[in-house]
Amino acid sequence: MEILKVTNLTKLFGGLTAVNNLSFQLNKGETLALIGPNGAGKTTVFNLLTGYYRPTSGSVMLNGKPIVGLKPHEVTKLNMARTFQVVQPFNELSVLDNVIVGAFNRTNHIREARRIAEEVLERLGIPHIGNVKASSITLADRKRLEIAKVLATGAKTLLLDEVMAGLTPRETEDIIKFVKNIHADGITLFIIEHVLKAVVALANRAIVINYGTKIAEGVPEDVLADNKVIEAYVGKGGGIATGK
Amino acid sequence: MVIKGIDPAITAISRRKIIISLLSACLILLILPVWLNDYILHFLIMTFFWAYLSQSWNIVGGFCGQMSLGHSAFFAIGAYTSSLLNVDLGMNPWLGTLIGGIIGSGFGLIIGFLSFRYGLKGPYFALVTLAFAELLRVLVLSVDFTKGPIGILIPLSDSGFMNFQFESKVPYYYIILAFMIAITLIAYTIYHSKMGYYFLSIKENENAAEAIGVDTFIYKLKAISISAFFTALGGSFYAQYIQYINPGETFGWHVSVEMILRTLVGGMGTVMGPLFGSLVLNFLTEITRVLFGDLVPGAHMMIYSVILILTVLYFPSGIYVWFREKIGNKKRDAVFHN
Repeated sequence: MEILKVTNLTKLFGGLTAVNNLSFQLNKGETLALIGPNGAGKTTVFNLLTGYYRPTSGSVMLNGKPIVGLKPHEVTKLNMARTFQVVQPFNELSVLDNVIVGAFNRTNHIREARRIAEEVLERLGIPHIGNVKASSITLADRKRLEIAKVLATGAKTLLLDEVMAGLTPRETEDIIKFVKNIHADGITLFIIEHVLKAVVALANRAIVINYGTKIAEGVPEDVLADNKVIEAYVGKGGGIATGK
Repeated sequence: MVIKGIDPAITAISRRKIIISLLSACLILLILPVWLNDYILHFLIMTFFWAYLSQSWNIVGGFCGQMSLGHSAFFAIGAYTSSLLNVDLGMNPWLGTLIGGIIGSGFGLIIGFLSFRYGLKGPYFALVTLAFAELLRVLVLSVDFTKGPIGILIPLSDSGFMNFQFESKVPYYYIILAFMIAITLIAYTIYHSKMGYYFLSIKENENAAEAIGVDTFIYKLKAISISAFFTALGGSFYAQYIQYINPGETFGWHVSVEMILRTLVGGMGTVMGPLFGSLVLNFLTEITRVLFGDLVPGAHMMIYSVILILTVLYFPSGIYVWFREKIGNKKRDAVFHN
């Protein structure tokens, strides 16, 4: 069953084509990875899907409903939420309150919102920092908080933008395990990732884009062995280490 | 429902302490007027008055982060609406006050809609609000209907609650005290509700708020319309207390600034901030005026300014926040609590 159907998605910024006729679909329950070199347009795709940018042309169907032109909060209300590459916590609020804001997407009552938020923090293994100001926590915890906020909204389709960036190998392992868990709970995932180890560990399928255009699609191992993809990342004659 | 790391017993005790001290303070304020002379009564009335206005501003400026520099517009709309309805149509000033609040709120919606619809934020939004206040001031100054520069004198009527006019200062004291307590309770309720959380999230990071389901446009409109409504009510009180209003005094930029200053000095985005700020600033103003007003004309203003600068330098989060950190639970360092 397809959750997201993207057809001929294109975005021009003046003369620059950031995303070029991108078509793909995201199926319920899968983890799809969006990979490609820096500047390929990956975050732009996320922005287009969630209403931060308006596509120049093309269509996006979420659960059969066209969502082009909707504002980000409306897309979240339709059950698809995104995280940000550079984490965006509500700095002056406590960690718990950050997540409570997300929880209010599902309820109007503070008690219920607090209960949901506490549950989510428990799941992410960070209930102990609930009362700490969001600006005072470590990067790894801020990444967890970023995920906690979208989880609390109750969205069943999550777009994770480079959650592994900037983490130590141990922290990366922890987050990979966690993402696997939420996937097992039935959340559909669309992830942008540079850490190829994570891509191979988490994704059922991968799409590769370069200069806004899709250049490969398939199972991660195949895609990463594809010459076009290797060339896009490292130039001619190179190889990609996947840590497998 | 325990968050590991925070001892619930400590929180319970300090919560009880806070409620008891607040109730005692209210009790004291209630019986105080018996002993006070007109001078001190006026001082307290103005302190509560500015605390009330600052709290109203706080809802959109401190909680929601939308720095309106033109709140005098709503203040004056309230003052002028109830006064004109009273003078020209003989309408009861309480009714006029309510209507003033509604019209003020309507203006808030208009200004908010125009600004937020076009994505105006921060300084641009502030400038638009400032422009609106100036626009209205000049309009009211020039049009006959609003009596222009002469202003409006509230006609004397029998002293009594129904007329919203009293010979003695004491009833005004109780009314503005009630206003101040009411707006603080309203601010508190908003703060601990979905609306409050959404306001704070918009202040912190609008894009992130949108991403987790906050309709930032609608909530900003809610903030400004609520804030404008209560600010306008304050304007009507002012008109009935001072019994004279004119465009400069009511639409003036100094009205907007005083509201913001007290919230800033007290602690933006907290519930008790505007109250603390008003207490401190009004007290300082009065003391410097009494002590130094004779020295050199304007000396007290200069000293007041210096004190203001020092406050902003040494208590950047506000005096209330500093105070709370000193007496409160050391484990908590987040802004959002009580």
